Parts: sequence; C-alpha cells; structure tokens
Amino acid sequence: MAGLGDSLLMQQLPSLLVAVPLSFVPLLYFLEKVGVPARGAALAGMGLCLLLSFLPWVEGTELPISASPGGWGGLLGIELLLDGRARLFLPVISAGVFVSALFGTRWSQRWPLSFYTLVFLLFTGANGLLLTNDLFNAFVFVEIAGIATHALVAFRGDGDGLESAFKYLMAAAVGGILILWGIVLVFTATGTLWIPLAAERLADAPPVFVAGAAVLLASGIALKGGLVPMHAWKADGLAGAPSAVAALLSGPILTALFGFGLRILYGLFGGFPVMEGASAVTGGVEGSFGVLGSAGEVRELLRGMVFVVAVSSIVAGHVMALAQSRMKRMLAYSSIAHMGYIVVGVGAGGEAALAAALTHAITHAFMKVGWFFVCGELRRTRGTDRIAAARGAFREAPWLGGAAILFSMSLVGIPPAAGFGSKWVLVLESANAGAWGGAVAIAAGGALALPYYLRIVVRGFEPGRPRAATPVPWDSSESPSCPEPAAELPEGAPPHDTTGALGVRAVAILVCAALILGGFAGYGLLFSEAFSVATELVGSVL
Amino acid sequence: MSVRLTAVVGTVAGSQPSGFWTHALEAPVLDWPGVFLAAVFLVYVAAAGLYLAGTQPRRTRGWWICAGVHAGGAVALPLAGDLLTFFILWELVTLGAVGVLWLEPGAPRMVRAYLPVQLVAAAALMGAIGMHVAAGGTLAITGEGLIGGAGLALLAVAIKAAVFPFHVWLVNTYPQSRPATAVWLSAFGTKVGVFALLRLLPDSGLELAGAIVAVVAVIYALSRRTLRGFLSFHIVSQVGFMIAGIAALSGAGVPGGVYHVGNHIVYKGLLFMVAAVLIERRGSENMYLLRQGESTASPKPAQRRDVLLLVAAAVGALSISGVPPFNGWVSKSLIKDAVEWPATYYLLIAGSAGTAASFTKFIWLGFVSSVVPDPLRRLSKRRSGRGRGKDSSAERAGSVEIAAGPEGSESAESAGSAGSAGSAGSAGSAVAEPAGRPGGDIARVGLVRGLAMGALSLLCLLMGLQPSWFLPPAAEEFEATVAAAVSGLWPVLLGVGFFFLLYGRCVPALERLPSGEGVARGAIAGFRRAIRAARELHNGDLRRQLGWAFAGLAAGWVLLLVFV
Amino acid sequence: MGAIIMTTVLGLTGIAIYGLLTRRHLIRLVICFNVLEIAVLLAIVYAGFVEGGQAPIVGGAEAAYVSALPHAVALTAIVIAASSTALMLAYVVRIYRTRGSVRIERVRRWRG
Repeated sequence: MAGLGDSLLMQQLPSLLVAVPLSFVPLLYFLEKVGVPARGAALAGMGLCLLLSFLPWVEGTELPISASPGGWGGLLGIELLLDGRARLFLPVISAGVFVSALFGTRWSQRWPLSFYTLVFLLFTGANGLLLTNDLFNAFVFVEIAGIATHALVAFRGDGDGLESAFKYLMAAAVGGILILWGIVLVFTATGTLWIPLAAERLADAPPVFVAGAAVLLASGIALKGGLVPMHAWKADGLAGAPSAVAALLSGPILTALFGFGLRILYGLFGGFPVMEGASAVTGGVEGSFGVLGSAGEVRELLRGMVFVVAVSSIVAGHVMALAQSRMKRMLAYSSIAHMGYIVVGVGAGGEAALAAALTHAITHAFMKVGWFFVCGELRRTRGTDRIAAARGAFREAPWLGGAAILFSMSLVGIPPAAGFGSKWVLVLESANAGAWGGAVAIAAGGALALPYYLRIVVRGFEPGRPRAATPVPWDSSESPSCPEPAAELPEGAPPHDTTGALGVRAVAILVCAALILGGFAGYGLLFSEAFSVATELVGSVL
Repeated sequence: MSVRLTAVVGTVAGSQPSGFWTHALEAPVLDWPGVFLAAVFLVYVAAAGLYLAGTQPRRTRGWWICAGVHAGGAVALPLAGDLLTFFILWELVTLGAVGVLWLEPGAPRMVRAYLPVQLVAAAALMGAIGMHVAAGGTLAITGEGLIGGAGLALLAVAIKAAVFPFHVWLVNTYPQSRPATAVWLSAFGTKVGVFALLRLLPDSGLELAGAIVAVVAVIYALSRRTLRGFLSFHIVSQVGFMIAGIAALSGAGVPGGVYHVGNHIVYKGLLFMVAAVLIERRGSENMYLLRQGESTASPKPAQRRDVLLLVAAAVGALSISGVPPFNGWVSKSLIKDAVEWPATYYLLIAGSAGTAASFTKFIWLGFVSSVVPDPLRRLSKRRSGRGRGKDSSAERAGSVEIAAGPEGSESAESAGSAGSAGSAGSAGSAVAEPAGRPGGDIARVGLVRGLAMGALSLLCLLMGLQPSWFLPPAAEEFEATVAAAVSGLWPVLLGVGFFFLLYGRCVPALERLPSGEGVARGAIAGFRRAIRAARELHNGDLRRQLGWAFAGLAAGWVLLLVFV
Repeated sequence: MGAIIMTTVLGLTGIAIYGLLTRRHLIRLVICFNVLEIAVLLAIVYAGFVEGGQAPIVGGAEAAYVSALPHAVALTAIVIAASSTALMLAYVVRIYRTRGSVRIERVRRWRG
C-alpha cells in the first residue's frame, strides 16, 4: 500500500469514481445476457465503488487529486477534483447507495436490471456532482442523478408513486433551470465555467452579477434539496416513493447536493466569515475575504437570508412533521428541518460551525436512511406506512423497534446516538459563532421532534391488532384506482416473495444502526476530520 | 442500580482515543449542598424503596429499572462537576420519570402532560449551556454559575422545579399515578430543578418571586379536594420557600434553602406515604370522603392500625408547617432570617400560615371528621332566626353538599383516574360512597411500610433536634431558643385558627380559582389549530408549491436589488 | 441587439412562470417548462456573443473568435431538457391512463 498514494490508480481516481458506476449501466445489461444475475453483478459493482471511495483515505495520499478526462485540464476541459470535502463525503454516498440497493433487492426483484441500472446512474450523478470542478458539468451530473431518481420514485408504476414522481420532477426541473441561470450569470461575468478561474474573475465582477448568481444557485440547490420556501414538493415527492428510493433521496443525494453547495459557496464565492457577535473561544477567520467580502453588506444580507431560510426550515419542518399521519411524509419534513440545522452551521461562518454542519450532514444521512428502512419494513408487514397501522409492529419484531428507537434518539439528539454529538456540537458552535437564533432553533427543534418519533415508537410497542392473515404484497400500491402491476409483468418473471425472509433488509438496517452507534463512540474522530476539511475549505478562499 | 449505569456510560464515554467527550468531564464537586442532597436522596431511596416493596400491587422489574434511573440520576446530579454530566443526568432523571409514568395505568395522558414540557426544559438547558460556552464560560461547574443564557436556564429551572405557572405538569402527573408511585416521583424531580438553580443561577435575586409562588400555591392547595392534588400544590409552595432561601439577596439563605430541600424530601415523602395508605383504604382520593361513613358526632376511638398512620401524618404535617422541634421549623427559620425584604418576610409568614391551615385540614379530614367546621355558618343562621331542625338539616345538607358537589376541573380527572389508576373498585365520582371498606391486606399499613414511615418520621425529628449534624460548619449556628420557637409557632397558630374559623366560609370561593389545566388545554388547542392551518396551507397543488419557490426567489432578488 | 434579446429572454421566462403557476392542463405545464428552458438557452447563447466574432475554426480571418463553450453548453442543456421532457410526458401519459384525466386537480392526492 505504500506506493499507492502516488500510483496511477490514485491519480486517476476521480475519473474512476465517475466512470466505474457509469460503466456498470451497460455492463449489467450485457452481463445478464451472458447469464450473470443482475443483482449479484450490481452488488459487486457497488462494493467495488465503495472500495474505491475509501481509497483516498489510504495513508500517504496527497490531496487534492485532480484528474481530467481526456487530459484537457480544467481550462479547456473538465476537471474532477478530489479534495478533503469530497474525500469525506464519498464513503458516505457510496455506503448510502450500497445499503439502499441492498434494502431494495427484495421488492425490485421483478425488474432487477432496471432497478440497478437506475441506481448506478444515480451513483454516477452523485459522485460526479461531488467531484466536478466545472459548473456546467455539475449541472449535468445533477440532472443525471435527478432523472435516475425520478424514474426510481415511479418505479412501481402505481398511482401514488406516479404523482410523487411527477411533482418531484417538475420541482427538480425548475430547480435545474435556476441553477442553469446562475451558471449563465457566472459565465456572463467571467467567461469561464472552471470554478477556480471563475472565482478569480468574479472578484472583479460587478456585485449585481455576483449576488444574483449566488441567489440563483442557492435557490436552485435549495429547491432540489428542500429548504423553505422551496420545500413544499418534498413531502409529496417522497410519500409515494418506495422506501429504498426515499432513502436514496434523503441520504446520498442530499449529501452530494450539500457537498456541491459547499464547493460553490467556498470555491466560487468565498464563503461566510465569522460573524461579529462571535466569541474568541474557537477560531474563526476574521476580516473579509473572497468575492463576497468585497461587498460586505451584500454578504451580510445574504447571510441574513440564509438564516431566515434555515430557521424557517427548522420550524416548518418540525411543525409539519407533527401533523403527519404517514411516516414517509413525516420523515420528509424531518429532512427539511435537518437541512435547516446544517444551513445554520454553514451560515454561522468559521471553521468550527462548518465542521459541525459537516458532521451533521454525515450523521443525518445514515439516521434518515435507517429510518426509511424501518418504514419500509413496516410497510412490508403492515401494507401501509400510516402511523396508525404500525400498532404492535415492534412487539412482533423487537429488533426493528430497537433500531427505530436508536434512529429516533439520533434524530432528536439523545445519547448514545451519533445525532447527539453532531447536534450538541452544532448548537454550541453556532452559538459560539454568534448565531443565537439558529442555535436556539436547533435546540428547540429537538424538543419539537421527539413527540412525532415517540408517537410511532409507543404505538409500535403497544399490544395491538394482529397482522393480516395473508401478507400484503409490499410492492403494490395502496391507491385503489390503479391497474394491477402484475398486468405489466414480463413473461416468466419469478413471483415476488412476501415471506419473512428478512435477510438483506435486516442487514441494511443493522448496518445503519451500527454506524449510528459507531458515530457516537468515535465522534471525536469524525469531528476532527470534519474540522480539517472545514479548515481546508475556509483556507482555500482567495 | 442506576448509579452503575451512569458509571458505565461515563466509562464508555471516557475511553475514546481522541478524548472528545472526556475533555469536557471534570471531577465531581464535593461541596456541602451537593453531598448533603446526594446523601438525603440516597436515604430517601432506601426509605421509599422499602415502602414500595411493601405496597400492593408489586412493582415490575421494568418499573424498578425506570425508577432506579430516575433516582440514580438525581443522586448523582448534585455531585456533577461539569455541565455536560449535569445535562446528561438531568436527562436521565427526566427519562426515568417518563419510564415510570409510562408503566403506570393511564400512561398516555400522564406522559403527554409530562414529556413535552420537560423536553422544553431540556432544550432550554441545552441552549443555556450553549450560550454560556459561547460567552466564554467553561463547562466546569464553579461557584459563579452561568455567564450567558440566564433566561433560558431560568426557564429550564422553572419548569423542572414546577415554579408557578410552570407547575401544571406536576399537578397533572403526580396525582394521576398510582398512589404509591407519587412517593417515588415526588422526591426527585423538582429538587433537581431547585438544585440547578443553586448551581446555575446563584445570583438570581428571585427571593420575592419565590415567596409569591409560596403563597399563591398555598392558596391553590387550600382549594384542593384530593389528597395528592393538595400535596402536589404544597410541593410547589415549598419549592417557593426553597427558592426564596437560595436566592436570598444576602446569600446567607443558601444553607437554609438547601436544608429545606433536604427536609422537604423527607417529610413530603412521608406525607405521600401516608396519603397512599389513606387512598388505598378509602378507595378514593377525595379528602372529604376519608371519614365518610364514620359517625360524625364523635370520633371513634383510634384503632391500633391508625395510631402509626396518625403519628406519621402528624409528624409530616408538623414538619411541613414548621412546628418545633421538627426539621421544617429549622429550615424555615433559617430562610426567614435570611431574606432581606420585609415583603418577602411577610409573604413567607403568610405561606407558613396557609400551609399550617392546609395541613390542619388534612389531619382533620383524615382522622377526625369529614365535615369541615364552619362556626360562622352556624352563627349567621342563628342570627337569621331559622328553625333548629331545618337548621341542622340545612347544615348537614350544606356540608354534604360541599363534600359531594362537583369539583373544579380536577375532579372528573383526578377522582376518576385515581379510581381507575390504582384503587380498585372506586366508583370514580364524588358521590357519597358506601360506608367504609372492609379492612383487608391492602388496607393494612403493614410492617414494611410502617418501618419506612417510622424511619422517615424519626429522621424528621432528628433533623429538627440536631441540625448542627447536617448543616455545614460554616453556617450560622441555629439557636434553638424560645424566641425562635415562638417565631416558628405563631404563623402555625394563625393558620390553625384560620382553618377552624374561616376556612369553611372560603371554600366556595376557593373552588372557583382558575385552573392551570384550562390554560394548558387552551394552549394545546391553539397549537393544534396552527398545525391544522399549516397542513391546509400545503394542499398538494403543484402550482402552489412552485409558486412559493418563485416567491422566495423573487423576494431574494428584490432584497438584493434594493440593497445593492 | 442585446436589449431585444434580453427582453425576449425575460419575457419568455415570465410567460413560462405565469403558465406554470396558473395552467391546469398537465401538457401545458410541460410546455411551460420547455419555454423556460428555451429562455435560458437563448441567454446562454447570447452570453457567448462577441460583436463581429468569427467561428472558432483555425485559419480564418483575424477577427475575435467566438468561444465554443456556450454552444456546447446549450447543446447539452437541450439534451437534458429533452430527456426531462420525455420523462414528464411519460408520466403524463401514465397519469392519464391511471387517473383518467390530465388536469392538475387529479394529481393532488398527496396533500398536507
């Protein structure tokens, strides 16, 4: 391993990280023709990508690793840059995709080829979004991941998923347009799409362009990610999606979007420096820097808008989640609130708050993914994801109840779950950085969040109505007015099995649970890594 | 049991390679308030554990685990040396109580009343600690308290210590649980809040507020009909005393206030033990029904099983009223000597008088007669010249009417759920019950419980007779002089006199006091309405969803164009 | 020239947004999205406009070269928009088959 650090593999790693998942898209098809089952090949491919994503962590690796397909370089071509931020998030994305694909193997076994192909497309898009250093290339990757996700949401072909997919597609398309507008503004002002060069040239651009591009790009990302006031589509969009897909949407995709947002914020615009009310306990970079620093009021105005968005996301997310009667919608609103938490950390400025936001993004990915898996398991046994129907479910499967309790504790912020560490540190560092309102909102959010998790957990452990005599096929829709999916079944497809072979689903849930517990025990390690990434981000500003 | 749990958590947290968690941990603080309170908690755990071991129905192992977490957190909390441990133990106390409440019959209501507001307190505490650290404070617990975030800490303390008007959770959970569960719960939760006041906000200047709380809560207590309801309000009132002592501007009230906390744990526990036995015997919480069926003309000669109960009740009542030579007298005198403002002093006197009146009522209704004496009614009726026969029947009708009439909003819930919660066979209404229940095993005090109550009674006496054993050596010597005895006694006599002379008159007015439940219910209804409105706002229309997105974008643009 | 183009772009964007917010027919929503996309494409191409520019082919006259980048961007964006539109239309067709109508009121089962 000693020579791995500067080997050819490492140098080409960014390209590989995009190329390998992409190559599996046609490869699966050909492998199936040859007789290799799609599921096995796909999981092997994902394992390979997971391994690749851990390679940058090998000792002796020099960051950043820059690769450029075709060797054109960033100015003329496209640069894929693997910096500390990407190194931190790549394993998260890969693990999230792997675990979600694992969870989805059962219900998708009628059409495994389609499912895994789409998942690999999503994987490509997410990896590319994280790695790319070219603005338009980022847009392309976002759309690739988006299209894959839309198709996955509507995978079952039933009425509910269809409506979800349609609303999600419209909202994401508009978000893409907004991002494209931002890119157009940047291009108009700088004449290039290569992020480092554009950042240099933006320093001399008129502030209107800079601020306009910032607003548009931020709005586009917010619309795709689901921050207030662009959040309304999210619950509808996730409600009809299969649980594995909802998990993919809330874990890896959001993380990739956040990573890209950071790249733009710090690589293009110079980020938010420490606020004026910050204390001197933890360090922050004083003074103005970056392009936004040249127009200090604009920066503070944008920061103010960021905080308004963040706090209203937190409040709206938790309040609406309290009102829901279906678990997937509730979890979607909860994601909105947690994105608000992360944005508070980013807006507060300084390395420590940013590091806290990074850790929260990572822990949130896994706890949300885990909860969606629990939701999927409940849908399998109860036929619906309504909270009222979950009565007694945890009594029958105590391990599921335990996992649900662990994920809930993590989301609310109770030890010994990883979410406690990331939330506690986020509150402290935000307050430290002077973002009082944000810190209070995060702390209050935990209090608001517990009731709606507690409700499910309590109901799950109540002695309740027995299960239906015949297990409900879990890949059928609940809406009565849709045609039977079996009518579309290709010839010779194996019947789906609904028996209790927990197998891979349980493995997926337990992996998430183990990560959450591990995240608590090793939180110090996680935070120190995030802190170094944050330092690098802040220090990379011109 | 749960001390071990906290130790395990601490060890796991401490063995990190990066030491992230341990850099915040400090050694336990072993000053007098901490050690004293921890010791009193521990003693009480033993006594209450003994009591509950002798109570039917027997508690399950799950219940004991939750109760152990609750008590263990409370025992460890006074010794916590840093804010992180403090917060975690605070959470453990809350979680233990939630667990205990969950395992009671009628759990959802109680947990709904308890958990949300306690979570607000926890969030407020977290926020306060955050602001403290942000203002440059250290996580170690020093004598100076919090630098920043005083407001949030105050909110957290007020909720946890059930300071009026944040007391609603207490009066909605302790009286609704099984009779003996309140024995366990009453001792730990609120005292943790008061102790937090000492650690976090030592210069709060709240002595007047504490005194006001003491008086207002006593007035509410006087209006209660149910045994545990009135005891719960007395917790609130005594917490007012504690706050007045700890927050006394001169700073000399801290020994008195903390000693009062310790005393309160002991005698309030004793009183709840007595109340549990009385409730089990009668099958009802209603104080006016305790002697129903016994002849009201002359009290029966005390049976043997009643003697211990009467003694325990008397000791508890005398302690809480502040009668020498019991422990309440010592701590109340210390507090009264320490407060600076005359207003505070007289309010505390009023509070003591009201407490005494209330407990005279307790002893009277519990052991003497079910009719509250109302000499003035007889006086006014005689003056208006009504017939004697009609007089007595009107009297009797009047007094029965008091006993059987509809209560405040508490009745349907507390009587009903006290009936459903633990006392088997209660009709659940305030209508007159059939005469007496046959005394069985459940009705007997029992040796184990008698031992527990006896031990606590002796402790009350001991803490009163020998305060120097318990108070810190630096505190001023408490002089057990005649003057002190008199100053302790005269508010008590005032209260007793009030009860015998005026209380009967005041009852109808007292029962019309606004209850906290109505306010809480209104707040919850308002919150629900807001949520429903939010739900309706998100009506699933794609155009509305996109509309909001564009509106947000437009707002951002407009702001920028205006300011750039 | 620039004013005309920018006015067109903004006008098209405005029309598209208006349409997205008020139209009830699903196909019309898809069309509005396409109009929005076209407006951006116009803006992209205009961003690369160089007065008196020359196509970027080596060996031409000495005038300034137009960068090929915005055109490449526009082509790619057209492809992406086309695939998004294809997916949208597939959904519309399927919604029509399952719900029997293409009005947006029929696509409101998820709410709250």
